[in-house]
Amino acid sequence: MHPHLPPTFPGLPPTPRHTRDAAQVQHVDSFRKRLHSAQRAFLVANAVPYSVGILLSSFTDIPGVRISGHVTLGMVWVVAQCVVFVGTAWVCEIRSARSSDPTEEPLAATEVSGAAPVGGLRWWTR
Amino acid sequence: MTVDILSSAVLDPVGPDARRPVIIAFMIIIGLSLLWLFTLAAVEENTPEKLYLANRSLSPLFNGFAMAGEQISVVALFTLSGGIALFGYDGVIYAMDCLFGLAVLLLLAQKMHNSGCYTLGDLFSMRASGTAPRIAATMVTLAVSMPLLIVQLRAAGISAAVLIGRPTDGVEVLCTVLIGCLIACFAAVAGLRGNSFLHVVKVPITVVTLAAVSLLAVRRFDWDPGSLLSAAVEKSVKPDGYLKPGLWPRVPHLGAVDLVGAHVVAVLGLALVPHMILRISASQSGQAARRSLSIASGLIALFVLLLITAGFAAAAVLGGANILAVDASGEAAQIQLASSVLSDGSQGRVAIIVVVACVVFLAVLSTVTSATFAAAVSCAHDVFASGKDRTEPEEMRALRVAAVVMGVVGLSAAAALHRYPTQFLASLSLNVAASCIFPVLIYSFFWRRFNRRGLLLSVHGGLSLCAILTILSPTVSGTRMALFPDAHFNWYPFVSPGLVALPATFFLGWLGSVTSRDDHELDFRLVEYRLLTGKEPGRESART
Repeated sequence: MHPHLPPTFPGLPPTPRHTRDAAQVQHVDSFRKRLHSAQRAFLVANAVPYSVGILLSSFTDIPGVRISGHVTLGMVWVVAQCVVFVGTAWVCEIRSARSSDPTEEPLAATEVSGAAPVGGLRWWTR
Repeated sequence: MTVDILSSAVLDPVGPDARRPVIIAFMIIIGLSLLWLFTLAAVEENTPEKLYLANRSLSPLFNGFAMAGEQISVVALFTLSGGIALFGYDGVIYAMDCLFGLAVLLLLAQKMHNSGCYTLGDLFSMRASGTAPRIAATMVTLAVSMPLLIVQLRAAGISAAVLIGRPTDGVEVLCTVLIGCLIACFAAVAGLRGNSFLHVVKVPITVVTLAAVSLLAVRRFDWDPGSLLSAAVEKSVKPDGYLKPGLWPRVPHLGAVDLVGAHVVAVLGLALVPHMILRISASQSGQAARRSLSIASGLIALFVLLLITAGFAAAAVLGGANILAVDASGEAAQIQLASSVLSDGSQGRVAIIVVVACVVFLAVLSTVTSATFAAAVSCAHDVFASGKDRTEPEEMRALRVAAVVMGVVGLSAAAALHRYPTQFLASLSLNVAASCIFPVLIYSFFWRRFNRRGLLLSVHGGLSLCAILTILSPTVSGTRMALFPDAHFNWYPFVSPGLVALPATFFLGWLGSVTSRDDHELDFRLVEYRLLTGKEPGRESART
């Protein structure tokens, strides 16, 4: 969570369990960092080669350089990107699952049906 | 585009021996589809969320296959493989956009699901109150979904007419109307769960069919993929440039910049179509949504590699000149390839053509139904039911009516436009998705100061820019492939309006937000908590 987030959310009824709430906030904050770290690694591993491929294809003839027979650098780059994409997607999934599973809660449709917009945000009434 | 040549009655790649089995196969699939439809109609969903989201109960594996299915449209199957067959490396790079669209979704899926939002209207309302964001969201949804619906229905009508060996105007329109009616019924009755089954069935059939056609093509070259690639290069329209960049038609002067813009728009636009947002919400949890996307990524990577192989196989077996003789954009290349990999008169040839016909039909039925359904959900949920005292049966009735209306409008437009190029519609759809949805989601999820004014300014600005720039682009006038080739009001030099609209939308969102004095610090912290955990702040405390 945000570093200056108070233990209880303003506007909500205060609770005496400040220690528990502070621990929860800290837990969410550390989860956010781990999740974003996994996603950042996935983004860099894929966006950089993809952008390089697109820029080289658009502005130069480098992807047309032959490596072996008719196989060109561009074709090898594309196949490598596919492999890297699938590999990094799975690594990202494993890392995210490791960090997120304990904190997350499934949404049931029955909860959603009671939703009402309050102050621009959908809150779930129970 | 496809129409002019396909409609000229010179094309019959299927041949008389396969025509009857293909027609019988179509009849069987239509019969099975109707049976499935009646089964679904008997199982009445009693709440809107059950109908829209399958009660958020789809498992990661099932929804992963369905997400992959959403990406395998008839346009992706035929346009991309045709592009690879004709333009070699440039076509391959466009095929990769399908894959990287999933990367964008992979990063946003968990947050989207945890937000509890399942329409664009819900997502837009996350940081802005009132009905205006929901109406803007519905406009964006319709601007994305309706062109997709028209383009895919038109392509479906033409492909079906080719497959039954009657590529005439009348038969094409008839096929478009019949398929459109079936889709309208499906969208009105099937719900997300019913449509998901179609996607799940489609994915393995498509992958196996592409693999089989590719293997049969490699067999013709003594099982040597190197020989197949060499033949593809040598038989292409430009052997020297086939595996180099630059063969795909570009606008003069600024072509390289335009190409970069087109790829960015394709990646973002393919990722953020409303039916994908709806499907993400159908997962059991945020982590299940993310896992589904990881599974879909693997399947789509396989699909793209097979598409590339099949594209090269088409070039090697048929030759660029033969593909061009049938269709200037190569959209019939896969049907031609399926009818050429085995010798005339053989049972195997008939079987493979029939399977390809089934794939076409399933691809059309599932993807167009998804787009129609998502648009109908947006109309029913964001416009009809939002802020009004509507009962659940009324909302579900509104959804069914909206689905039928959209189906009828879509098939009418597809029939009316079937002799005209529709590249501008595909361009408009992807550009609106990329320019109006992506910036709003990024600001909503990550920027503390984003507020109502910023949202409305960016969405309305982005939508207007996309519409105006599309009208002024070379896809509408001034080029051979344009809607009006003889008119010249193509004052915007790029094919992709997103090149201007995307940064402009980001700018407008920032400008609107910083000029508003609203303080949304608290709202953002609550939203951030919910996006991360899927839980409502304070509920944990209340429980303990």
